[in-house]
Amino acid sequence: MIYLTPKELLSRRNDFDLFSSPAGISDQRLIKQLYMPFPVAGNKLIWGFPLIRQARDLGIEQVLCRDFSEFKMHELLQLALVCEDRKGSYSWQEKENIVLFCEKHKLSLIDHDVTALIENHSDPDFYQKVKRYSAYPEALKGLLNKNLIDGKTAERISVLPRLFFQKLLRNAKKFTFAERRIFCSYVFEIVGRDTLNAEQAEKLVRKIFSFDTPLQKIREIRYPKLSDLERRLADYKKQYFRGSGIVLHEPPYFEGNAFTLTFSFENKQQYEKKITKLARLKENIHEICRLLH
Amino acid sequence: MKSADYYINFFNVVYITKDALPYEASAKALKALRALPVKEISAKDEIPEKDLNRHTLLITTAKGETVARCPGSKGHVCCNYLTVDLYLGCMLDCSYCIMQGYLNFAPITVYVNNEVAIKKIINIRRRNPGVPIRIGTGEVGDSLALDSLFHLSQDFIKKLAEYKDLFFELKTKTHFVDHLLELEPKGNAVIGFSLNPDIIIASEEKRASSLAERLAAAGKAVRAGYLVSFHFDPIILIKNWESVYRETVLRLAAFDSRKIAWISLGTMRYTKFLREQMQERDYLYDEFVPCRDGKYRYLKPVRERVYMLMKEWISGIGKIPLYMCMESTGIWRNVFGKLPGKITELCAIFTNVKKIR
Repeated sequence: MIYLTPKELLSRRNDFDLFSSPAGISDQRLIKQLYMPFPVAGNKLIWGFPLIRQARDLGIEQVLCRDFSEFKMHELLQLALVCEDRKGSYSWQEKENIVLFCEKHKLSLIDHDVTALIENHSDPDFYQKVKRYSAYPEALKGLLNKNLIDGKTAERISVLPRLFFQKLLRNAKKFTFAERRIFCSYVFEIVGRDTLNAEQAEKLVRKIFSFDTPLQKIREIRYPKLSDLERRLADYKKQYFRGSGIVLHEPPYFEGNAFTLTFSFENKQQYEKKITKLARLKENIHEICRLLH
Repeated sequence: MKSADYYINFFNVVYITKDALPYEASAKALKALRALPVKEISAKDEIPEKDLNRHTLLITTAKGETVARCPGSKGHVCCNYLTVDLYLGCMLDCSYCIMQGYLNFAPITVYVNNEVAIKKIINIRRRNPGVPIRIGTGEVGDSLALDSLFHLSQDFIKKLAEYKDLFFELKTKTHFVDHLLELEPKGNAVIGFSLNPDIIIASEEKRASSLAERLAAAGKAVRAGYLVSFHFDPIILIKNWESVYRETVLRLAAFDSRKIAWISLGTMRYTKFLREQMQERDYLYDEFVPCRDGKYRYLKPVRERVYMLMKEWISGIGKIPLYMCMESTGIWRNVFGKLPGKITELCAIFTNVKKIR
């Protein structure tokens, strides 16, 4: 065991500073030295950068370390990953850091079983995925690192204009996670369907984000025929049923044969009122029925 | 017929279970595929993980039920077709195929003990006197893509030929019919061709035969004395779909309509799971909505228009039984005016074969 100063450990740029996880132990534990010794190789810190920064900020002069100088480079990386112990929850930025580290030090992710310490399940495409991430625009990387979208969606929409990712990042709170995924899909599919070039796609993005309810608007563009049916039905409901206490139910997605009407009544008068209203609808009901035929 | 090279270039390895070795069909296929490594196994689960894909051919015997009802689709009208598992999986790689979702990670399997299925069909025939029976091998694989290697369909055709009102259908996207032409007797065997316009074949059915090849094969089959059927399924609404499908339908006018046993229609549909497996395709950016069976289809008014037009074009080439595959009663009423049970020429096709166990 050796004692090293936080200042010394943080004085130089260190490739092992890979993780962006917050410091995980209390100030008191650091002060009272209630921690496992920090792994170092010579006086180079291998793991625990946030904790060492915390110690430095607390004014702690020395921290307890254990020297692993005899380890090879890939073993030191494995050691850092074992200490970090966050298999399955590394951010894309951290994964990129690890891949860049391996590239710099000529370490094989597969030969040294590194991915097994990063992901829950071994993923033969890990390297390719991270390299694709590296090529993403910054705003798309931001969406991924803030867990605002999933990797599969990011990969699918990565061809969209940068403006889209920037706007989505800024307006992220307007959507739930699932809504964001749907929203991204719709934009991607419209760009593909209408073969929009970059300029046209940007115009679409600007237009969509100018609405208070971008998801609703994009759905109307993605599903114009369905939206038209829904709009017509809403108009009929408003025109013929508003305030009547009679509710018209359509089959989901108009995928059915019949509408259903429901109403309730407490006495003969209420019943007669509903029946009279329904009888008056006879003249126009064919307009509604046409929506299913 | 395809040369052995066609199969040798597609498959990497052949596995054969010991119980399949004595069959003539196995011997025939192994002789043609002798350039490929062949491994004998006792059971399917001995195939290593690296070979669990459709470039592996598994020759084996069927253990369970080989004849079943077409599963149909919840909330949709079923044509009461019966299916035989003979070829499981497909080498044609059509972009929209349900097998992309389910069977891509399994070897293409051939059940060589076809005598079990034939016996079962004869039994069903006897237990349902007077009931028309339609049965086919094209549910979970192409009926003819591998048949020129194994020649398994010939036994079905010959042995079922004597049974009245029993229509044994081989459904294919290939033109591999030559090995069946000389066969006698043919009975009511039907060679069914799935059709799509060339432009869709070129983009979505890349490994299948061209439209011209399929139609030429259909012509050969008719001249040899077979009934034929045509299946426009899936109909995919590309931008100029009306003109390309109309043109395709019109090409059927060259056939004697009395030799066309039936024509079926079905529009593009997919499950959520399949959609996740599929690569991006322009046609998927159309408006699909979830239906009662969980499958996604074009909007009902869109489908209705497609069926109405196809019906109109097909009626122009003759009086041929026409039906829709996996469609709702609403669509049946709107397109045909009634349900298939009330349409005289479809009664036989849609008859429910009650006793199949």
